[in-house]
Amino acid sequence: MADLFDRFGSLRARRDSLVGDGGHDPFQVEMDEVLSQTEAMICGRHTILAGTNNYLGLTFAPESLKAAHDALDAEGTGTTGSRVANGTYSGHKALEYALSDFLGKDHAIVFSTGYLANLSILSTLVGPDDYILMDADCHASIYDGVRMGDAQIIRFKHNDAADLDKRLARLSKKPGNKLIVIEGIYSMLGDKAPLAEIVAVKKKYEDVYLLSDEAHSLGVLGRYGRGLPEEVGLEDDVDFIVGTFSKSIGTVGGFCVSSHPQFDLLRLACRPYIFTASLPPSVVASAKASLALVESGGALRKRLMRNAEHLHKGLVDIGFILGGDISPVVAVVAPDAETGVSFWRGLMDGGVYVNLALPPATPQNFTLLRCSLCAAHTIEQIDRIIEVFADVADSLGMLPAESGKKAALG
Amino acid sequence: MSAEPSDGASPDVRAAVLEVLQTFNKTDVILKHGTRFTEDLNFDSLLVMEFIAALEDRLDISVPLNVLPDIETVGQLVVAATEIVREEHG
Ligand SMILES: Cc1ncc(COP(=O)(O)O)c(C=O)c1O
Repeated sequence: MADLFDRFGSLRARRDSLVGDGGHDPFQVEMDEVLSQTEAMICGRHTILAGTNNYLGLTFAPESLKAAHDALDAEGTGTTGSRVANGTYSGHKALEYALSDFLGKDHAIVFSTGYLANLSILSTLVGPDDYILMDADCHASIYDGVRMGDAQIIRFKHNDAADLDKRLARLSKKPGNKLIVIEGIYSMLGDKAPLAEIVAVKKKYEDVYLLSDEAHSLGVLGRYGRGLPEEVGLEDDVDFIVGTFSKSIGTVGGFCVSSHPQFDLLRLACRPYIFTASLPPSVVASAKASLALVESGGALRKRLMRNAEHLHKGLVDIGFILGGDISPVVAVVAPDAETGVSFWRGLMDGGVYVNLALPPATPQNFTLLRCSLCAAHTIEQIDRIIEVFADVADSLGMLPAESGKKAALG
Repeated sequence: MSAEPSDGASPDVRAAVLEVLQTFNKTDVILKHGTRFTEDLNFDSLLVMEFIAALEDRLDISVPLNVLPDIETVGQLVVAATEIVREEHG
């Protein structure tokens, strides 16, 4: 008899062959107890967290905790309603004003997650006669968003402005708006978009808009943490900025800002805005408090970058080959998924948690041991991470015995 | 490929598709008009993406992701690619 789940046969086979041996499953990690922004008890072991996207460590910021507690007590555990029904409180509007003010755009819309922000905007903003030109390495939420909409979807080569230029040139005879979609910092390898080159290409053509997903760069890049556009001085050239509260803002939720005069119409058009409940008041309050801390967080950003440089240098020194941009996302490439799982388990046994990322969620089909750093990491913690990486690589025969030679990784 | 249906497909595009596809074909299957990417060539979604990117380079075109779900066979791809070549370079 056919079973409903038969269609997952190849998924089941892959899971069973990778993690079916009863060993620690990278996709079923349970935090028994969260000790701080950078430490947790996992399987009874004291573990350094180096894969949480909690870039500024704001999850326990006293101001944000207090704001959340106050809102929780005053307004309850949830709104039990959509933004377009009973789910917009004054806190949601205040957060939207704070976002548009912070990012220097006229309008902001808050969504229930960053994933839903991308689904909303990308499925709705462009129609059947329009074109989306997306970087091939964009996040799954961007792929899902464009697939939900009706626009023609064209991918350009990752971070390749010349390829984008070629594709726009071929479309220039065609009517319809064109929306370029990029990310400030790419989530998997931590590399930045060549924003100046992309803006230069955009300006060559008519009816072209630019959207940047600043999920991993908000709070991280720019003097005030406004992301890649601030860092390179091109904020006015980015028409739409999407972001999330689930990384440097330290809670959950998403947003989009823009100065388009009709931006607010999207509230009546985006289904993932209309047909889901709004964020709970406590989350909204902590997001607003954390946003203020992001803006004044120059010292946190310095610590974060110091940590990023320290980990990057430490891993390169022991022979790992890493990507060029030094950023708070540091990804080590494993030769295949099986080695990736063994490596990940070795790190866990050594008390270090990182993300294991497998194809197809990764660029170039890489298997990645993806670290993300936190401003709250100490140099001692990072030295420990480097030491455990070295030990595990050594036990798997992945680093040459003599130093100086490059590893068989990457 | 033999006995091709008269679908208006360009012979140049057909040759280009076959040439690029052969570099991705890890099976013994001989490429024909009706060869199916998933069932006959064991292409998964990742390989499809890589193959399409290579074909885009070869023909200097953009293949919108939207057309991919409707393409099951080599012949269907040749027809779709012909249309795009005519639109973008015609
Ligand atoms: C680039 C990018 N966009 C969007 C998201 C989704 O964010 P959220 O966790 O708020 O749904 C993520 C995070 O996973 C991301 O990396």
